[in-house]
Amino acid sequence: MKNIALIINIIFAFILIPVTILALVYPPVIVSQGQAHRIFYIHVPVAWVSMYSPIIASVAGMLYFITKKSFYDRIVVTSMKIAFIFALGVVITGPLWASTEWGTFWNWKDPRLMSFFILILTISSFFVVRNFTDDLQKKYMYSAIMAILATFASVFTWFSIRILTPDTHPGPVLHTMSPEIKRIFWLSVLGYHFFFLVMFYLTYQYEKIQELYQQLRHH
Amino acid sequence: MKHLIKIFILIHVFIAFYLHAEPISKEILENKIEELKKLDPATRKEKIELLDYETSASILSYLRYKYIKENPEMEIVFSMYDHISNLNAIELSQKRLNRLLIVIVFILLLFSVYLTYILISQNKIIKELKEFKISNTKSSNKNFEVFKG
Repeated sequence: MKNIALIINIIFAFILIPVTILALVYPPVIVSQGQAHRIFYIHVPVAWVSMYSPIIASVAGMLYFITKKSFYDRIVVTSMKIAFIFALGVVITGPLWASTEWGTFWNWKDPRLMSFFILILTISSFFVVRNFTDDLQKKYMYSAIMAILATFASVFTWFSIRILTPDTHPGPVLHTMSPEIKRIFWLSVLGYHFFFLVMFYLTYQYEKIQELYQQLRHH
Repeated sequence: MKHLIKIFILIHVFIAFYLHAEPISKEILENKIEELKKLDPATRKEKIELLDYETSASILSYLRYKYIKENPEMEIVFSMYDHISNLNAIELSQKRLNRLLIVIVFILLLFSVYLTYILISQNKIIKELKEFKISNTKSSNKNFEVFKG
């Protein structure tokens, strides 16, 4: 059953290949941005995943506080690892686009950019704080707290574009997209979410096997 | 054959009726230009950027005709401007396309490197666990020799 779910996820994650190709040709060009607007079909879904992952981690962290089961810590680490990879994707692809559109790689005054910078710093500090101690109970506790902090940063990032007026970053466009853009965008969102599930499964397996290995080494 | 030619001509006449272009009237164009003239430079620039292709092209063509009529040397200015804006547009679109391709390649690399790292590390641990299991089985099967003095 587990394998079937994984295979289905992998198949759906593969829709990313045709979606990426379609995104290059199907949706019409936005006059003000030219071909550069096509980064939207990669940058936005990747950013969404990087913001959801800390939420999953914090829910698992809270469950750890209640149950004290190491299983939940594994979920926390897995989610935070994926959040870090996707966030890295966002902070590198965004400035590449900005360099042609704004004439600069980064704008330190933009609330969306700064809130995302805080998010990636919080995610990175999760791994630093996690290695402060070798005591497993403390390690799990610190991780759960850091995951909750990262969730605050993630929620702040999500709302920053809606509450504060962005200086240079484009505002929310979900309700103003043309049908062609909408189709490819949602297909891309779907693809990246299935890809997230595949990565989550593989990372979780890795964490599980590493934990077993560490336990055997210590005994 | 004659009938066929007649039908062919008739079809073309009908198509021509449907495809006739509707030029923007001179009055509308002049009004738009007057509106733009009244604005301050910053607002004017914003307004111009919001104009669609047809309107912008019509205004430009109208002004071009007007100014060239007044001063024939303006033809060189307009031609030079066209040439430079074409070159800039090509350069910018090439730059944008390059950045887009870098973004795609980077995302592909990022995820591939991460997944490869996970799979290689996992295989390494599995290998070590197997070796650990083998060495444990060997040590548990070992017959202890008892030496009697």
